Amino acid sequence: MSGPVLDISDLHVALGGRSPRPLLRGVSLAIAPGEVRGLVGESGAGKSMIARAVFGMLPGGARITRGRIAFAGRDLGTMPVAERRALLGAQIALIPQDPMTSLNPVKRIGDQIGTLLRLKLGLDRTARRETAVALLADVAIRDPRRVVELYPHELSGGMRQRILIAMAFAASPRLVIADEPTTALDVTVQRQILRLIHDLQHRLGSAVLFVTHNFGLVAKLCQRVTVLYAGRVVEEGATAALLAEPRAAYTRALLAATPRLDRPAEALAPLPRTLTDTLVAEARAYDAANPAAYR
Amino acid sequence: MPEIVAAGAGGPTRPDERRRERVRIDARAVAGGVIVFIVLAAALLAPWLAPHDPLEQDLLSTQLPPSWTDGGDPTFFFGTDSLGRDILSRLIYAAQIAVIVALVAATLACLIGTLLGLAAGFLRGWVDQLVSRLIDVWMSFPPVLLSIVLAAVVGAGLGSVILAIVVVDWTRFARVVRSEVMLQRQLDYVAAARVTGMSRGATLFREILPNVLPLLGTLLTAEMGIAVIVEAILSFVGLSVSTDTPTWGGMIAEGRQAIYQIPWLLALPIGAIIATVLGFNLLGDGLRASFDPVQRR
Amino acid sequence: MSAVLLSLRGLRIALPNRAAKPMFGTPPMIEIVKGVDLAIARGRALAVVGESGSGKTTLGRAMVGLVRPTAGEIVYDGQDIGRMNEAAFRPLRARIQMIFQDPQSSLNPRLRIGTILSRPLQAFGRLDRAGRARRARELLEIVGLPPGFAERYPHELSGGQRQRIGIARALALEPEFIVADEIVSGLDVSTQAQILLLLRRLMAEFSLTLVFISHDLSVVRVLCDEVAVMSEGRIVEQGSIAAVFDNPQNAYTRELLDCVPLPDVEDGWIMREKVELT
Repeated sequence: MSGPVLDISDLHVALGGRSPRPLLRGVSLAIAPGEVRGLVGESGAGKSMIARAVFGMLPGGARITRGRIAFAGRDLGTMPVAERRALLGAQIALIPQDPMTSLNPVKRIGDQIGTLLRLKLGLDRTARRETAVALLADVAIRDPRRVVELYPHELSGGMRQRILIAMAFAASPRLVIADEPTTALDVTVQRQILRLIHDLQHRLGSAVLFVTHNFGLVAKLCQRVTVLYAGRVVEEGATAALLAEPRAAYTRALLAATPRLDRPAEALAPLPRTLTDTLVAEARAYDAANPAAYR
Repeated sequence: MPEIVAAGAGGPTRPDERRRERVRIDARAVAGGVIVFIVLAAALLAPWLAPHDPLEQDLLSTQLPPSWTDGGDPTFFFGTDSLGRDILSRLIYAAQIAVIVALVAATLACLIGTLLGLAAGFLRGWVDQLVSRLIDVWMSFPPVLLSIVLAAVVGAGLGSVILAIVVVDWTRFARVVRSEVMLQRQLDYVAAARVTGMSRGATLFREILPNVLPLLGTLLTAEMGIAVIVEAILSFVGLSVSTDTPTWGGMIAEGRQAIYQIPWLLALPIGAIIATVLGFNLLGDGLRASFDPVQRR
Repeated sequence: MSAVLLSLRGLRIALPNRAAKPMFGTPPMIEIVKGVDLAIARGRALAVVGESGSGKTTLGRAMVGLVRPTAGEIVYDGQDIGRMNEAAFRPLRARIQMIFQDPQSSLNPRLRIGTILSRPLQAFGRLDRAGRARRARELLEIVGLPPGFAERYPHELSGGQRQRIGIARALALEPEFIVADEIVSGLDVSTQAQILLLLRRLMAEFSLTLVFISHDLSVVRVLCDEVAVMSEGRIVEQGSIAAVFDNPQNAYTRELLDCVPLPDVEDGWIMREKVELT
């Protein structure tokens, strides 16, 4: 266990064919085994696009035009489709953003976990039931034997997200991608969710790519953090150092624009227009200089 | 020039560049429009377009095949029926009944159904109970059978065909409009209208109705197609206009009796009906795709 | 002119519980707001914070006359608006406005921005057609958008721009009191800061009184002087922001404040969560 579990290098993603619209502009990102990495950016920065590219689920019309994504040293792009599919859900798992729509509304919780266990671990019927109950107990769900019999709509958003976390960690994955898993939840529930991810990650030694727009969550959960803007990596570093002394002007500005309950209103400064204009101009210049990267 | 995705989302943008208001007409609207236009033109210009009197019998040249086949007569393009009447002329004249029924019956059904649906969805309470139960009862009858029974009771004639369609099909509109209004009134723009002092009537007709209209347009053109079919069924069973007036349904009935001798007499009006219904549906979908600001994006 | 603009006294609100609706008949009522007393002084900004289901949104909607109380009073400038019928309340509507949470659903998708902004004026018969169009452009400028936006449809705008339109509409009738319900919750950090600072500027410029409803405790400090913490239909603590945030008295308030992740590395924070079996 030496090389990175996820190694993204020079990843370019563009939308459309004739005059392609760049979504990712040469992103490189390496996550060590067992590392918890924060991926921070505003909407449109491309953070979800990275997650989708790893899962091979880019939105319609978008495709990887250059660069590669390697999982445990193996290129996901050249891997046979069946092999890649076998990795997903088992070795590489996802905690989705919206717990309300990510579970099938007409199937019982136990059956949904059971399907996953059958497909990814090949368990038989009784083992599936027992494992499902154990998984729910792991994410601190009281009375799991009752919960496996329930339908998603009978559970709160926090409960559903815990179930999705249990499913993500079910096969002891080497990499878990959490795509803004707490945006839909209350702050008190949010901390429970973070604690669960933290505990399971620790116990199983999984690496986590935690996608978020909230520096607060990164500060509490992640060892390292990557900041994105306009499909480019703006800055990467150890969380404590980056928050204390951000090197990139954009990171500094984003932190200054984040309201904090321990600081008075006067401390808040909106993102300077000139700064974002400069970054956008840089991104455009990069596109103009590298037209071949999007073909 | 490729677009930058993350360009400061909420900030004030630069002075507005000339706003491009381009309505791109959807291909379906064009195709449907052409078909509907041909049918309309045939109906309006029948006396000039039809080469023969549709009722003129020529017992010396009955059951002639289309002009381009063996034994065809160039003066009868699609041939003649069992009574020696020109099939092309009858097809053209039959479009008149189809068009009148489609436009009048569908529009009336739409008006009645929409008003009831708006009232039920917006006022709720007993109005909704009444309309909803009425719809439930209505929907439990097989629609075509109900039309046939109605037409039989009221008697034959153009008016009763229209009546039969309107009475049966208003529920289509009422049902959809009611549920759409229910959905829309939950949205915050309706609450915003109330907070900014708009009256209930203005809220319904000026805020909610514009959001129901695109759906209604599609529904209306679809209903025109349905009206053409129902009219054909009624005239097929002889409950529409008098048998002197050519109708597509009547022609199908005649064609059925001579199916082995002159199959084209059956095939041609069926084709006309299919094309017309398709035309209305394409037009409806296409218009929505072209003009609805939300779908146009 | 009294200092208190709006006061709630023993306010209770019950709404039909659709989740428990029987197959026939009306759904049972469920009490959302369970006895709230609150006073807002003119020119002040009050934050109402709480988690989902705390009743804060219902409380806000009652203040603008969208929801009727089942008991208690909503006294606005000396008049009990909770019991008024719509006709009597109408003149007050122009003075009491709301900015909605979701600018996507609170802007009519099939109307142009110019129309949306002139509808409130039309409802009160203010200005002629040309005057309303002029006022719509003026409102756009006030919220920092180019006047050309009047020709656009809501879906052509970004989330932050839409929320600016929501603010512009609330200002159209020159109100004195505005309820803002979770207006920055769906926005990016940088957009959030812009909207908060815009609203702060407008409050001063138009001497507004503001009730700012939010689940996010970090944002309320930018705008508000006072805070009321809601939980399960009741206000558990209220006072000046500085006092409540720096020295919370109530256990729930303390828990809520501790759960907000500050962007500082703190190892023990996650472990303070007792993963108890719920």
